[in-house]
Amino acid sequence: MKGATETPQHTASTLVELVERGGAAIEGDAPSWLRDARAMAIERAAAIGLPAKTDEEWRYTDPKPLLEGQFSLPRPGAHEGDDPCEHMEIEASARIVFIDGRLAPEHCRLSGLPSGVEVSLVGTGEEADVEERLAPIVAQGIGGARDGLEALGAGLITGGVFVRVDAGVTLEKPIVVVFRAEDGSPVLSAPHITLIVGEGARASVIEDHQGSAGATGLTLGRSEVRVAKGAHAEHAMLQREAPGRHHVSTLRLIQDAESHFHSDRILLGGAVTRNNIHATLQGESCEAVFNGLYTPEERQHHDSHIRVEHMAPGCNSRQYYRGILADRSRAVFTGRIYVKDVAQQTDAIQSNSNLLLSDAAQAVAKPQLEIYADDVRCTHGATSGQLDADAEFYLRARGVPERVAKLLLLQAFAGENIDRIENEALRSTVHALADDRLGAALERNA
Amino acid sequence: MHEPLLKIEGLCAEAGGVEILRGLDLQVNAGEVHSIMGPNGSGKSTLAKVLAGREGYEVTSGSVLYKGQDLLELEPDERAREGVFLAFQYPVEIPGVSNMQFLKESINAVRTHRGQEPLDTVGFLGELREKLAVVGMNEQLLQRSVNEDFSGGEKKRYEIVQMSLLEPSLCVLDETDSGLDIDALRVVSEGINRMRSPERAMVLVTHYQRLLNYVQPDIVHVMVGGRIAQSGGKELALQLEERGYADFTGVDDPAQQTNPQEASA
Repeated sequence: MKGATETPQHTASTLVELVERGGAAIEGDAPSWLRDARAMAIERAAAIGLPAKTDEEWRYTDPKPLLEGQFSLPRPGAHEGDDPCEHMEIEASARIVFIDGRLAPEHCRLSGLPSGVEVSLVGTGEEADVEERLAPIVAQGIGGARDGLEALGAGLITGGVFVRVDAGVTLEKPIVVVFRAEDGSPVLSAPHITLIVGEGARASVIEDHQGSAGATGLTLGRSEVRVAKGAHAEHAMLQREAPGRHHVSTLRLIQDAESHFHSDRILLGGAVTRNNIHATLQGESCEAVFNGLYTPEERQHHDSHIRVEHMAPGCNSRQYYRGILADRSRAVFTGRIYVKDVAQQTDAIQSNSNLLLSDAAQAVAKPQLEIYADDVRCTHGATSGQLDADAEFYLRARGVPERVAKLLLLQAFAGENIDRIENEALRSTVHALADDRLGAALERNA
Repeated sequence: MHEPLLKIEGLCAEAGGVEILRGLDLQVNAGEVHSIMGPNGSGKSTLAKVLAGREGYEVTSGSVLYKGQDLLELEPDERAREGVFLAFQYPVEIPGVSNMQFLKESINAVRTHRGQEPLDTVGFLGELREKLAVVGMNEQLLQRSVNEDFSGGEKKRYEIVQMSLLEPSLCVLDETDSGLDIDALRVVSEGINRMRSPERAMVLVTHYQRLLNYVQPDIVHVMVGGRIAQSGGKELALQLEERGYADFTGVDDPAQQTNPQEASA
């Protein structure tokens, strides 16, 4: 770690200290627009304040470990060496790999993209000039942040990818971005993904956040998705970070008329995880699906915070979130459906169910409706409970051993949302990961 | 003398603190078909559940020997692998668990326990098709979830399919005739009759005697107030059909007729 203490940005510090030091805290060789963005994010965070447990939005998730943990920003330069990543068997149109917040150029594959598709690297020192296209989006993200942590996530940008698909272009295979944390210093990485899908175009991005078992630190991620009229976009995030690493990520979605969007967010790893979605359906007749699964165990904490805003008539939105909680874990689901007065014929569903494998596990569900239009159909439902004893008995009465019966029921419960994952390879990966996890959780929570 | 397949002595059991079985004796030999009849709340279904090992029913005294071993010591899945089969009054819908997964896990758990090779998919499908055909079902159900969106009749027929697939030694059928129209009743009865064999015993728990028009029992028991009030041949069922349970309930504890535990169980 020679040189790690020589420049201020590589000294471990807390987010609180970072914000107190102000915009000059992060220097280095980043292009000026990015330095401006970072400074703006830090200023904005200082102005609106970092979250506190007394904030209503953070009532069930103590932000302290995120704000007061000592983290250091990634060292400059690229990652060299082997590719330790666990790659899914996904046919990708492009693959970008970051390790400990640094680009691993040898392991990226960016060639062979169809015309009309731009995939640019951000904040890596290798980027094409994305300033004009990206800076306004970043500024908008920082400006719209609802708390200081979100502002930092929107603007710190230690590395990322900018994807733009021109009108009418279909990108068949997903763009896969892997963020991996290795053992060592507690790195603060702020990955930034932008996906802009032009009119009538179609594209998808898969983010895979992973780490070796002993990794620590914090991921402060941001995904900006813009779906133009009549376009189709998919965004998936697999969060399988090391249990000692915190993870905060925000999906900011803006949809134009008649567009379709599908989100899959699978939370498996991390210590404290905060999964934010802020969706604005600003054009008429959009469709959006937010599919999520979380399986915290031990002392993991998985918090999902979803806000879907219906700003125009005739849009459909679906929130399907399910969790299986083992050991002493906790999960929070806060889902808000906001319907503006002009958004008549809104059809919005929100559903959250939790299965608790242990008496010490705790699930909190806060469904919220805020409706200013009168001709709408909005439903929400939240359930929390144990495995269905009647179903378990039925299986056992047919000779199926207890452990197998329980596993079948857990797989069925999780399977409903796993089967909703759009990408087939991601779906099978998640099935396999969930099966392993749930099997082990059953052993411990017998 | 052969050992009885099932020997119940002085069985008392309660649910939620309410005593439902009150000193029940019953002996069933291999090859026999018994019918247990009785009014609502008499404890018939409780007996079926206690035999299968349903949680929530506490045996307070008495014994149940199955093939000479203490049945009450065994977990529900062990009982099933040992050859005890309960056909449910209300088969449970299990969304997300396919019938394919369910039946394969089930039959292979039982086969492995018996020292038989697990069936592969081809062998399994071969076995299953035949059993399905008997009750007029087809293998399209394999992709569906267990009992989900099955009609009442389909659920009961599916119980018979599972029973014939697992080849149990003791079949306990809890109100299998309830909710069946006459055609379904005939199909289900046919399935039951095919399973009769000198090695296998059946206990038909039923409120009405109409099932017994199709499945002829060797012995009929009348259960009232948590114990067997009278046993006899199939003429006893006809007598009940004609005169109801008044002859029995009149002399027993009338409070038991409307035992809420049993009625809701």
